[in-house]
Amino acid sequence: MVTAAVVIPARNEAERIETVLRQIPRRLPGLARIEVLVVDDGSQDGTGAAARRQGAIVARHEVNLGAGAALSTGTEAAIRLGADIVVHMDADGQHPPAALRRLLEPLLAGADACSAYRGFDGSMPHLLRLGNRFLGLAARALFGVDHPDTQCAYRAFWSRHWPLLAWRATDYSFATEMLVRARRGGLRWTYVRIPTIYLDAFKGTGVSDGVRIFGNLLRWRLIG
Amino acid sequence: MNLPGIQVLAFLFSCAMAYATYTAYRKHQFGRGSLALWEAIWTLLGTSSIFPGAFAPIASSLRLARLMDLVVVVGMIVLGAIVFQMYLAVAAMQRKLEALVRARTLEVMEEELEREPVVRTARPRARRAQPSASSGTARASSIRGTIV
Repeated sequence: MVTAAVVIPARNEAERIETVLRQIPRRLPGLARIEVLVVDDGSQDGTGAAARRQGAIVARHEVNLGAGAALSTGTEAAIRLGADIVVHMDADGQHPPAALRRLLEPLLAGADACSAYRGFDGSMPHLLRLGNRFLGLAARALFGVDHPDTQCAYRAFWSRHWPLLAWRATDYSFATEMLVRARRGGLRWTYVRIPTIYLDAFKGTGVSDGVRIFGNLLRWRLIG
Repeated sequence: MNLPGIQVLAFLFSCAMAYATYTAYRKHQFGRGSLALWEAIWTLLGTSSIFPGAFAPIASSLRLARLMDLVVVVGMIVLGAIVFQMYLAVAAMQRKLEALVRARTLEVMEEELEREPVVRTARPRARRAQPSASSGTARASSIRGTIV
């Protein structure tokens, strides 16, 4: 039987993380067990303690390194714990834990990786919708990455692909870098639709992050 | 000698910076090489502010019409070099910090799990074979969506 680990990067999410953790199913068909691992990325509000109360394993960055670095640490930790499948999920409730089953089904059916995508509808702030579309087009034009939502980090992949996927970006660029690496490595990557949820317009990827991601896309294309 | 105010200010600034540089050197914040480089920069700035005419031949040999143009061009080059050096240093520092923090994070997590093993339920990786995505009867044809 297969073991999965849900890796959640969290920074100052003490208010919401317990609700998210409570909703994560610990057992699903085809899986022996689902571990939950929270990477506390230098929080100052007791996020780690809140996660521990819900039975999560907590790994703490003493200083904030960024979402990409937190997920990188979390993925390595999950693999050390013996996870066959690694799932990335946000700590703020943007990624519905109820969709976990649909996210994992393709992997159990033979896919190498699967990620969620959101509808670019009115639920997504205008500027972020524009930015997401632009970055998706840029990733397609520069690398041939055909994905409806390159910035959605709700993803699952077999841990054996970690050496291929291991991203260097420590910020939000990791989401695109991961897809670029998967594309170059020829991974079978599928996607499933999830509801678009924005609880805090000032958290997550912002305009400056978008500019940085685009800059990184250009850099990866031009320099490698 | 009747010096304009800006020249006096520039000279005083270079003197202050030369003193600050020497103080930092005495506090072992950098070595002799850096001391020599920075003191040379401040000396050059101080000299050029008091005796701007001394650099006129250099400006004319470089076909720069005014001495100010020489100062601006050299200043831009020096600033660019310093910014580049700083960029390299900060990037290297970031990489080291990230590696250190991440290694420590994993170390502490494993120590905590050893102390309180109840939360750990996953089996060690080496004890079982890795399932293959291509094995079994299920195939990617049942998957929604397309390949990236």
